[in-house]
Amino acid sequence: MIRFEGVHKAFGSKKVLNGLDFELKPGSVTGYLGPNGAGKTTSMRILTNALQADQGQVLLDGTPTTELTHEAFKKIGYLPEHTPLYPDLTVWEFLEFSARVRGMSAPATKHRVGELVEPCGLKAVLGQAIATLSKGYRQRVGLAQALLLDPPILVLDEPTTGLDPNQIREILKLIGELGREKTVLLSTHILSHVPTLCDQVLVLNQGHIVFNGTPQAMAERDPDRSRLSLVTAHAPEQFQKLMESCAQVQQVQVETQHRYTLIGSWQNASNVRLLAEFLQKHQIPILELSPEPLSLDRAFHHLTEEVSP
Amino acid sequence: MSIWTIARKEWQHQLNGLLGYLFCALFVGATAYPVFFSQSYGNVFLSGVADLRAFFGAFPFTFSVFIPALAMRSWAEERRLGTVELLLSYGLPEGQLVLGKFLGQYGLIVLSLALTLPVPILVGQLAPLDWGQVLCGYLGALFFAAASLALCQFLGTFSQHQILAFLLCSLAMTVLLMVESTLLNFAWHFQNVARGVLDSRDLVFYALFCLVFLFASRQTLITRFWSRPW
Repeated sequence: MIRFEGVHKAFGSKKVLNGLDFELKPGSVTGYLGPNGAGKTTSMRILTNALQADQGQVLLDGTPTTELTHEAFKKIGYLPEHTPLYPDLTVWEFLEFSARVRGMSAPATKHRVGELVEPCGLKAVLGQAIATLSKGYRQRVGLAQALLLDPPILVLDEPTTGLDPNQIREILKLIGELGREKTVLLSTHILSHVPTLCDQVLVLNQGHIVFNGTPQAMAERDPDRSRLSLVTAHAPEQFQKLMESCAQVQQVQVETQHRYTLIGSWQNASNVRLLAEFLQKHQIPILELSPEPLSLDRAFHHLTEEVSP
Repeated sequence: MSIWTIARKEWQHQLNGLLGYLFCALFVGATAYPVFFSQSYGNVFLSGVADLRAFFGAFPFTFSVFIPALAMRSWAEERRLGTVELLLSYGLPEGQLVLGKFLGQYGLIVLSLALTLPVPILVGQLAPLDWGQVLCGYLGALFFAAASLALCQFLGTFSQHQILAFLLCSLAMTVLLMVESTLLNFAWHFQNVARGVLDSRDLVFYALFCLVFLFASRQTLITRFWSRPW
């Protein structure tokens, strides 16, 4: 449906995109991750026609976006970063303008806005000037604008920036619902929501895709397998010192009274076996001994700190 | 369809704030002043002659201040707010965006000109007036304003700062009013129509000027010449 083919973009001497190649799976929510300045916003702008690529192309259903007609762009709903809106218009005036300028008739606009006010939570502010809205409401107006033509593709550039935790939860819930029937490209820095919200993850770094796969596969890229969580019923005094005397343990971190994190080379199975023997020998009852869950944060850090190929 | 929606939004944008009303009021005041209040020959009370040359003669310099003030918001504001990104993402032909913005702001100029109509009507009450000259003057003013607005909107596409856009447009308008070449001098082309002489060459000059800069604005948008993040 959407395909980036060798897209390059530079601003002056600064190269922002260096041959971007990827494809969005239809009917899926794709998390678009990357550090600030990685090129996420620029690539989204190229996809939505706000910028032109220096080289390469973006294809929508096989047609380069530079050759698309006004009609074809109706397939894409776009919420730009920082949600640009006209502050002097009311919410209704803005939504009406956005619909009418894209060719929607007046009755259809009225009907569609009516449909959107409820799920986007805009009923109470429909007649209010945008300048007087809170950041959360502004974000909802931007999202409603992107949904006006009921497009099959949604491009959302950091829709949760500046929102409080409740607003973030609401917006992400709405995006999750939309993702059941639409193709969503979602740029975000909130990694904790990625496993539940996204079917696919793209990680961009220095203008390259450095990871393309499922959230689970991304978590597998967590390089830190050196942490074991140990829960013991009663640990003897001097437990920390005792554990540090174990050859396989490099460091002991006390998490709570009975929970410890043991740092060592646990990728090596024999080290885990030797640790178990050590605990048995010192008669330390084990309630739980498990590797710490893989972390998307650490995987992200690992993927984006590397210099791209 | 899209052109009119954009024009209407532009119109609404001007009248939602104080600027639109201020623009109209100051424009009427600035053009009526030489006819009724100045101490020069143009004052109909002092001269006792129903002659509107001073009235129409004030138009070029009034436009050279007012049109940059109006046009500075056009694209600079869209770029500052980031809404230009939204408009471009709608996939509208760039020509429609340019025309819509042009017509929206031109509407305010036409309204301002219409609000000056009481001036000739009042003068006409005092003494017989050559209405052919009045019609000719207004026609010339409409053409003059269209050309100036197209130029200023084009220059406005280069800046996201309104003040910079205003200075750039004012400078360009001043140059066009002062330039020695009669071919390019905006005031020279207006002299005839202000006197009531309708020369099609003057109107063609303004019309061509307007079309060239509307086209240039469209090209600026097509190439996204600024090519840097907004």
